[in-house]
Amino acid sequence: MDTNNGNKRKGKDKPLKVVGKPFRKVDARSKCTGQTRFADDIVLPRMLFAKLLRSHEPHARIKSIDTSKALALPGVLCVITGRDLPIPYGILPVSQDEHTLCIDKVRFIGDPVAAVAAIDEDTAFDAMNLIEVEYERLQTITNIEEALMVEEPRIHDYGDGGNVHKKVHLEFGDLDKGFAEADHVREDIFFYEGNTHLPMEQHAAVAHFDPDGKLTLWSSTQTPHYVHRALSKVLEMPAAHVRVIATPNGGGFGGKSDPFNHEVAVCELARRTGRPVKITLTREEVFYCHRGRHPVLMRIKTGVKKDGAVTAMDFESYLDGGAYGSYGVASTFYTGALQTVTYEVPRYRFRGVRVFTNKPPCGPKRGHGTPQPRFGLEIQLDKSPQTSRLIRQRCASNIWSSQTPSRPIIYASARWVLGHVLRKWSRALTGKTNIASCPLAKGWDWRAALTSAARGCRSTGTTCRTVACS
Amino acid sequence: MPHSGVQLGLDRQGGVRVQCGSTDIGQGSDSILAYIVAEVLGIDPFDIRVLTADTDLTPVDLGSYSSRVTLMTGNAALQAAERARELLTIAVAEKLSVPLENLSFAERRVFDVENPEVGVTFSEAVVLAESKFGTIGTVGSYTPPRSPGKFKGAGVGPSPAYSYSAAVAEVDVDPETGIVTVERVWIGHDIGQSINPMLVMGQVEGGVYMGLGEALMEEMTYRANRNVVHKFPSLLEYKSPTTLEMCDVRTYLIEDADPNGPFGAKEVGQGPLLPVMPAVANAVYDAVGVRIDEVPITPEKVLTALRDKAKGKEGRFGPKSVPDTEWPQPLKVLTPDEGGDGREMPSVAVHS
Repeated sequence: MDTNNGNKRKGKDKPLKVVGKPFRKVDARSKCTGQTRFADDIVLPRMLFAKLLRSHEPHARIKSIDTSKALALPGVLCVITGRDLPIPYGILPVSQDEHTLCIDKVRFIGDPVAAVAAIDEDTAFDAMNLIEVEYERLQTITNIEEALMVEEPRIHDYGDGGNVHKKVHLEFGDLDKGFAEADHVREDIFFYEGNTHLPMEQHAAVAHFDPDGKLTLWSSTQTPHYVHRALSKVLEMPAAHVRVIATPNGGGFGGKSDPFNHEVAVCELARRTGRPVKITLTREEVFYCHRGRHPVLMRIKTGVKKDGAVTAMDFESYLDGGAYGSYGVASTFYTGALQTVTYEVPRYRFRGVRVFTNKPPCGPKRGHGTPQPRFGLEIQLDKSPQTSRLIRQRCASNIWSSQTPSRPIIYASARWVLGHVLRKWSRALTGKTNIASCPLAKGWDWRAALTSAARGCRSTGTTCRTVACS
Repeated sequence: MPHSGVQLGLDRQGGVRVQCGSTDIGQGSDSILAYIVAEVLGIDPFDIRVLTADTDLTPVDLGSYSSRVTLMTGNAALQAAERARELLTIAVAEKLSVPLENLSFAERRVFDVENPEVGVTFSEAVVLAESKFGTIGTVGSYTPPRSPGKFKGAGVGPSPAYSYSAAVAEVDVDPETGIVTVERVWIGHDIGQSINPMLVMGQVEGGVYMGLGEALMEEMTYRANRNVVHKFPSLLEYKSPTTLEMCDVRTYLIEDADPNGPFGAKEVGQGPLLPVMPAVANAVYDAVGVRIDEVPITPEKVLTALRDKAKGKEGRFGPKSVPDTEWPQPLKVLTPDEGGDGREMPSVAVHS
């Protein structure tokens, strides 16, 4: 590799025998030959199967639930509803707003209201369809604007007022002074649509109570210790009597980081029936569990000097949190936390708001709250002629010179990584091995130069390239 | 409080058991634990039994998220392994009558670096240590340093090391259909030191794949009525790239060991995703001169912007305003330039 500063290495200063070498994974063979046992592969003697009845109303009060027909179905051993597990839980101490099964109201299509355990999956499915729930519809809150406007009905009775979950306002340095110093001020608005993790493996869990009353839950989770804490709380069991084993995980990307309804429900069903209980969610249910990327509306105002240096940045984010808190307070802070890490931003204001809506709850997905602002910020810097040309030019020309600019417009590590990629790329296009001679560093209009270089090797005039770094 | 903990057990027959609360979610964190312990103890990674993510058997770990596992559990494993090595070193030095600092661990042996033939096998070293100290087990843990910020919210994402990524996207845009095709992505990632470059590259390329999905196709959308019904909760209709849409990726690992990481390693789980979406959006502008200020960049949005541009309008697709919002009083923090120490300023009456 290009450099390797061994002195900085933490660990023994001897030639490395294992670290840095492409050894196979310790579990590679069982994965490659399909022999890894995922949660859904677990089979225990006398095991029952569970299904969750999910709400088909987006926002409604539960007037009544009648489980008698389901219980009467041959093969059904147990049906539970919200009142059987009244203690709330949630991943963050500040938002303990979830119940295993909804008690008084449902908050999105897919919110679970009852759980069934039966001798097989088909019976559980049939029983689920025999449960009668009477709803009283409430007004739905469908997007960010509505959530900010509509005070009543509230989706939750906590938060920062109305349907606002959390508001944050942080200010670092004198913003007015920063914008006054700027030669150019640019303001843009961006929207990043929500998306989901799409792991190959659907969530699954198996619960088992041993005769001494100790519980074991095998689950496809990224956070067994958090699930352990939630189970102990909701089931009112001593922590020492609860064991959570995270099974080999068929992809998570953040989507298996919360304690989930189905995980608690199978434990309670196992406790009541005295038999092991398994649940495997359908793909449709995985979409309802969600906890994926927040849809975020952003306003970014940035002041820059003629040389491309940022003087001040004002950043606002509006997060559509969906129906529950999940990691949302952290997600909100994250949308504002990393703007100042890549470029030097001497003065910065962050205002963020997360709202509740009647949609599947959003949470952490790979990047957790940071891809959205990064998307907006990099486009804005590209739109501004000062930043797009000068930041990149400076970063390209400074990488290999020992001369340090008086003021780092872009931090050294970021500049270094960006420069490395640009050098490789321009070498491939221009055949030049020295970046100093490549159009990127030489000409003012590096983009035009590179695009023309690119045209030499491609026939289509619409082929274009661009850069972004984070 | 530690965010990660590792317990190490050493077997008289030369095996080593690593117990850790972290969860392998396919990224290879179990393997990382084995590589780090193997490196320190001079044994083969496959001599190690990794036991993870079981609340009965493993110390608390916060979980596999936030790109925290290699850095945090890696440091915990490193500490536990170094403590075990210390015990073995003392026992072996006594047996061989060589100075402690002369002993090296490699090739499943503990030997005198000055006379490499003078030494014992790793399993003999364990026996010597166990005879001297009793059952050998060590622990290691990792607590990230406190954030220099002391204001409310400063604790979000405590990490002593951040990684950087940069990407170049080569994109074709068809102005007739609005279809955006990503031909190639060049991506560099600042990994510190890769514990296993193959796994790091896998993560980088997986990040590019996920990034292309977010940039061009994926969206959680609901029917435009009051029912908020998900439009397509299925793998068939929720559009995500397949191998056919996946582009060529040129991956560069940039290695500059970070003093805070185990062997200098930083994260790779999340960073390489981030530059992909803006790079694609900026490339679309470069290609056809329209700005798509929201993801996913669908052909409809590109065509709408192109038509607007042809009519002499702005040539932009994206939101036009943000809602009016009442913000709470700001929590003000002085920057280091202004003499700030990370604390929030005492709140004073603000004239509005």
